[in-house]
Amino acid sequence: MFGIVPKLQQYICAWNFWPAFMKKFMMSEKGPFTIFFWTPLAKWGISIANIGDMRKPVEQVNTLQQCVITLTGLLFTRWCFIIRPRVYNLVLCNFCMAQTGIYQLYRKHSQGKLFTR
Amino acid sequence: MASKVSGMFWTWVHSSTGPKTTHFWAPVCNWFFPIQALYDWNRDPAKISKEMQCVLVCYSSLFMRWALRISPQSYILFCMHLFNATLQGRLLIRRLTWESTQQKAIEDKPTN
Repeated sequence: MFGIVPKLQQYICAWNFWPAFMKKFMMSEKGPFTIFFWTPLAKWGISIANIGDMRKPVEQVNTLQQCVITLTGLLFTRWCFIIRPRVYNLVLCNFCMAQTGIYQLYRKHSQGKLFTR
Repeated sequence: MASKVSGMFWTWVHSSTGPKTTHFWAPVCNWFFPIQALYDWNRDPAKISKEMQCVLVCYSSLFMRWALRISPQSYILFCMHLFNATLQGRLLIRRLTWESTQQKAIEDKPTN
């Protein structure tokens, strides 16, 4: 928006000690200075946060939120297979999201608290 | 006129990005995130997960930018993530405010 990131990218890539492969990665269209690098990581964050929440008591798990996470994960897993190009990282990411959501819902169900807020 | 509208509707229903395909339902289910945050407007702060709310705010903030950088741009996806970032952020602030009042109550408690 303000052109800060391209300037930062040029400044950092100009440093001499980067090996060639690192420079190529940093200058690429899907490199760490673009949004296309960080969005899959953010989606992985949802699965990681869900795994962290598995240690918490079941009363703190939000049933509706887990239902949404599961449904989104399942549908986007299917979506990732039908778009081109296929990005298997995103397939795995969405699949893990769905699995963690299903497990959280199972935890609530096994204690009979699936429908309690 | 009515038959033209009906024709357009059924063309859309049977299209490759219509309601018979995942291309339609996957973005629709994304809208359930902000709807869930609205449903949980008054959720007990003790039952809000700080980590999950942080992640959802970051996720939506990044995808707002992504929706404008993809080709073609998706303003509907941008709006959805804007609402989601705002509403999940509200739940996060609710939780953080509650934690700070809890902390204050512990500090103000007279020690024997």
